[in-house]
Amino acid sequence: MLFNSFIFWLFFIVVIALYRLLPHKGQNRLLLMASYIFYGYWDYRYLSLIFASTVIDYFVATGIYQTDIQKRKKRLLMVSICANLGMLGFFKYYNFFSSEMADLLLSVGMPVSMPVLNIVLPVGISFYTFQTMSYTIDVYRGRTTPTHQFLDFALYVSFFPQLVAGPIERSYKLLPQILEHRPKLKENFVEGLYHVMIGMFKKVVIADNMAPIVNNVFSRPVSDLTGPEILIGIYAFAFQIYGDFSGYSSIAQGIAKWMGFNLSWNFKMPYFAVSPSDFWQRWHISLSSWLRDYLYITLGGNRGGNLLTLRNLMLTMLLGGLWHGANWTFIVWGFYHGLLLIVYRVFEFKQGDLPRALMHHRIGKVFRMILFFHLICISWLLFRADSMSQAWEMFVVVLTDYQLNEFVYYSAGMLMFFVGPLIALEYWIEKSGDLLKIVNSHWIVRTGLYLYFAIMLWVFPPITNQVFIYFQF
Amino acid sequence: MNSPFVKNGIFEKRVILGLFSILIVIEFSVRIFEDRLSGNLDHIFSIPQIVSQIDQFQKNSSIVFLGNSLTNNAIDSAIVESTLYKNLNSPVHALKVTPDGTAISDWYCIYNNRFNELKQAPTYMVIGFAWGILSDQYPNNPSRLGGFFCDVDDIDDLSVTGLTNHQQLLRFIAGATSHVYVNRERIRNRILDMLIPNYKMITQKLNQTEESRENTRDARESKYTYLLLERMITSMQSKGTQLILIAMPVIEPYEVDEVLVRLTNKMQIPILDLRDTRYITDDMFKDSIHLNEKGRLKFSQQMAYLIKQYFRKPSDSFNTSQY
Repeated sequence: MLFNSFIFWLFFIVVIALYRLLPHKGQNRLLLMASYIFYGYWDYRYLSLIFASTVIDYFVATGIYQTDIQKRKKRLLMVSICANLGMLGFFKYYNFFSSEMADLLLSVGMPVSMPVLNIVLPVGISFYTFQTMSYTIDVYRGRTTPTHQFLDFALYVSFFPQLVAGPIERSYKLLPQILEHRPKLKENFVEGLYHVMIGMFKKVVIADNMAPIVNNVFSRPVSDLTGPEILIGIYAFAFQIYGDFSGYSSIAQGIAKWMGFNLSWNFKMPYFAVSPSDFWQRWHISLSSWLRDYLYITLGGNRGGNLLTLRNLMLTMLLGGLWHGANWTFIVWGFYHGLLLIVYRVFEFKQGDLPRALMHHRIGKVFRMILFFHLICISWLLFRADSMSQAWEMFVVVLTDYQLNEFVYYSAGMLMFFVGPLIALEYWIEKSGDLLKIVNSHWIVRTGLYLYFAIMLWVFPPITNQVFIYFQF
Repeated sequence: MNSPFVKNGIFEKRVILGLFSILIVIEFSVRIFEDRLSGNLDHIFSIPQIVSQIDQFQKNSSIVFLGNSLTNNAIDSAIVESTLYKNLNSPVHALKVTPDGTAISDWYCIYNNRFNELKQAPTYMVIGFAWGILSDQYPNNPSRLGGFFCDVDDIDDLSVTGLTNHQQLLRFIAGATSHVYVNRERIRNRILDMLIPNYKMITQKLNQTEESRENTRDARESKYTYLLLERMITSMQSKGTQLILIAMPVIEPYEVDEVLVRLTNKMQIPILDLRDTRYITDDMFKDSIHLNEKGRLKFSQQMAYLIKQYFRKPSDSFNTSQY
């Protein structure tokens, strides 16, 4: 069930209508049932994986909490981590690693035939396994007290607004909201409406209208493309993936808000970032903070001196890349981001040497923003390309060919028409320093903006529907 | 950066009321002016008027061309009428009902809702087709069906085309409710054509790439059925209308489905194969599928000549056994 489908909204209307009639406990049971229906609608067989994850982590967390023996705590934690990463590894990475292994053995003269499994990646597996793992780790670290309500914990793992594409919520944030009574506030509707409207706009109008341009550029042989065509294709992809993913997160945040839940902000105007650390505090925040808390800090964070810090940054980003998919392009994407973090970190140590104007003046900030946006675009080339060779060939053409043609003018026009107003809106929000600037504005401003969103959604949807990109992760 | 609470505690009544009021005004404005949006829409709105002319014609003298732009660009009613008159010595009235981009689902609804209520049925109905356009599997446009051609009663019949799939059904309902929604592509194209350089040309290219990808996949994945066509034929035959199918010429060759041929043989419906006629050359096309003026003239004459034979000897004029 996609958030941008009519069927989802029919489903949601029924859920919210029943939800409002029920007491707190009934609401939780309804949401659990709705979450399983929501997931099972895609493929009911994979509900067993969510259920397995839920059962294992419920009992593991209880076991960790009840024992005082550190060794036993650690062993139980390993059960949770191995079970979750085992499922993730099998469904997501088995074919990749088996074929890479076969290639490696072949290259040293040991041809082997590794079995290739015809398995479908269960939607959202990367999200809910990370969410439930964070629970057991937090219980292990003493940050969370485990719940004894199994069904409420099951709802924490499978809460449908954020089940298949995040945000990845921490137990200490979401679980209390499930366990405690949720007050009915009129403000929830106001804020929820904003999230849903802007989310739908970003997904349907921005992302899906960029998709044909992106698909066209990345499906043609590189020899048929000019540099500006590739460049515009990368720009289009930058906004496609942003619109797609942040749109999904916004809708999730909005519908959860209507039910009284506060989900995390997953995106905060990421293309206004001026450095990698700034970017990762704005882009897919729930994943980057997960990686920071459970991987980077576990590796030692910045406690072991400069070199170890840089190593930890690189390892975290490499695994962050691998989280996105079993392909060398994702691993290199992670490596590239690790490299950016390292270079900027080294650069920031020497910040004092730079002209002050470049660092703090408005023009300097705009320059850094544009520069960093283009560095991010290089990473999007790696992310979108089908192979490393395609990415490299495209990169070379961008640097060596400057031929403008009709497709470039067309795509630039489409980008300005669809993306231009979003950038202007986000600039206004960024400048105000209030993420809920629209909600806190005069009602006429909101009416005008929602009217614009509604007309764009009604009149300017793409010719063909596109699925959410992040579902594949 | 994030404000911890929302200052506006009031329910968004004003915003929602304002929003809906403006959207309703836009909806009604589109309904008032939509016939000016394109020639095709003007044609769609004039279908009841075109069809009603049949009641004013003499008995057994009408021939209706039902199709899309393939047929519209290929048929010149005046040439068809004059060619038939020369050969039959009695007047024949040719009408065209050819809204752009339509296929079997649209034609089924048009026939059901526009022709069924006439006092006298058309004598001949000619449907021009290519590819799998007559099959139940040919992609339909649910919002257009709901907005222009079909009634709620047709939904059950159209289930064979996948219309009862909830997503399509809801689009059908959205189309029946909002003409802004039905006309969204038209409005979108109008606006973007004004603002975006090379919009028409590049969009057509992108759509063709997308369509050919879809068609290749459909062709691989689908086995065609013709339940809607069969129902249409039965209904026509019960009213005494003879259906003639024409396999239309396009530049890229295509196959006529054997299942279709078997059905038409069974139901005694002739298929006139004009896909690869020697009279139509590549210079008679304005693009890869539509005939130009020169092509239209040639095609209309040739087609009318063949139709005329059928007028005289209904039982043996067309040989469908070639398939």
